[in-house]
Amino acid sequence: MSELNDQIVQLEENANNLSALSEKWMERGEDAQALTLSDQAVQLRNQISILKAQNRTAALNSLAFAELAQHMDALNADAAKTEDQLQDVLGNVQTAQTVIGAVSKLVTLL
Amino acid sequence: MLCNKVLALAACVLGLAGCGGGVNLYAQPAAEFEQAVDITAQLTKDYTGLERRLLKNAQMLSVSSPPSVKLNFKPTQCAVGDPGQGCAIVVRATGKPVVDAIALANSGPVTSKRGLDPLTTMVGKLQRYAGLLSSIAHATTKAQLQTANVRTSSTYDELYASLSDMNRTELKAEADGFKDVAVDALASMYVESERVKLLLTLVEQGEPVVTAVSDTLGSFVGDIQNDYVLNQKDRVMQLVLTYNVMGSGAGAASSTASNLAGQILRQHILKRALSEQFALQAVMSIDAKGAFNQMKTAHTALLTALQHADSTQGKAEVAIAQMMEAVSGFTAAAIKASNTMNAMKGLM
Repeated sequence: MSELNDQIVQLEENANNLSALSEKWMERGEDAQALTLSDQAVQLRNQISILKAQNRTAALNSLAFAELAQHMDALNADAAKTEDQLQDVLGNVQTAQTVIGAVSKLVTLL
Repeated sequence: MLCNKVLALAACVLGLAGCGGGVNLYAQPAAEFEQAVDITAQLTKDYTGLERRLLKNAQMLSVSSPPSVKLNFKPTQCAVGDPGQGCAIVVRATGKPVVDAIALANSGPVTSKRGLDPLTTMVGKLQRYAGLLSSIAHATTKAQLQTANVRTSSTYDELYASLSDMNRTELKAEADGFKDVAVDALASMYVESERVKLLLTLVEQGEPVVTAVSDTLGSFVGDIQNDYVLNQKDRVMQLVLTYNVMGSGAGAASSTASNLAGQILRQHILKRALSEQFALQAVMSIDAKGAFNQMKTAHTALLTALQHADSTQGKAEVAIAQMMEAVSGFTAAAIKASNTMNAMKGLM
């Protein structure tokens, strides 16, 4: 991974230099020369894109990412359980209110 | 005396109902977190698409760059409902598509073997969490709380206005009505107290996970954005320069067909350059990493709100005991006052 990263950094530096040089030629009105450099920069960027995508894919398939996904799953399981617990609370309160109401009426009658 | 008691009690109920209404303290941050997650979900989807586009461009250029390559396209084989190989631009020598869309979708570096994009899957998990939080924060009682507030308020007005000429039966009925309101307020407070405790435990547990997921997703999406912007800047420049260079060669001795092809191509290049420029500007205008940071901040804000609500509820529990005492005191005092009034009426 480190080798691939070094390669990417090197290629990016080259692409940035080509891009900057191309811009300078264009400012001077030398479009043909600028185009040659710009085209090289685009080709390099394409290579970098592929390498970076490979890098990202490796990271997404890594154990660390899988572990993170597991933590999210566990959190969601807890959240679902919490939702159930709250529903229980709401149910209990409703029952309690009904009972209190019934007792209250009973007391009034007595 | 009785009036003061009623006022004190009504204020107490109103205050407690207000505590129950403290649902807003954390419901709003919960909603904001859910909204922030939705924004990042859309960003992740968009940026995964951008990455595919980058790869498609790379694949396309690797096939079409050599000058000797000629292409074929057969409009007569393009039929609605059949967007297969017949409708694709192919390399004349091999008959293979310049961009193999199916192969790209199935074997692209971003897409997993199961066809699920891990970034989108992770965001889906985050969206589920945000949805559950929101559901727990808003479950059923909000409307009940509002109703309780209105009822408390109207009961107080009625009590205050009619106190002077109440007979014992009326006063007893008001006291019962008042007790119903008190029971509602207590129930709401209990629910909110339990809700805050449950949410607080969950959100405290979720804080490090949400932080790690936000940072990870933000880093991936930010990386794709940077990559896209760098590529796109060079691509726009290449198109602009191509347009200029083609214009410089116009008028030179060449065939009519070649001139016409040159003009058509130049127009297409300008159109493409502008379209790529707009795409570049659109992507540059979005703060992708910032959106993920906002999501993280929204979750922390929710945690802070819950901690605050939890400490407020602690104080409210003391108030519940005081209120229960006041309710029984009020009932007794009201009946006593009514008796006194009736006795006075009898004497007059």
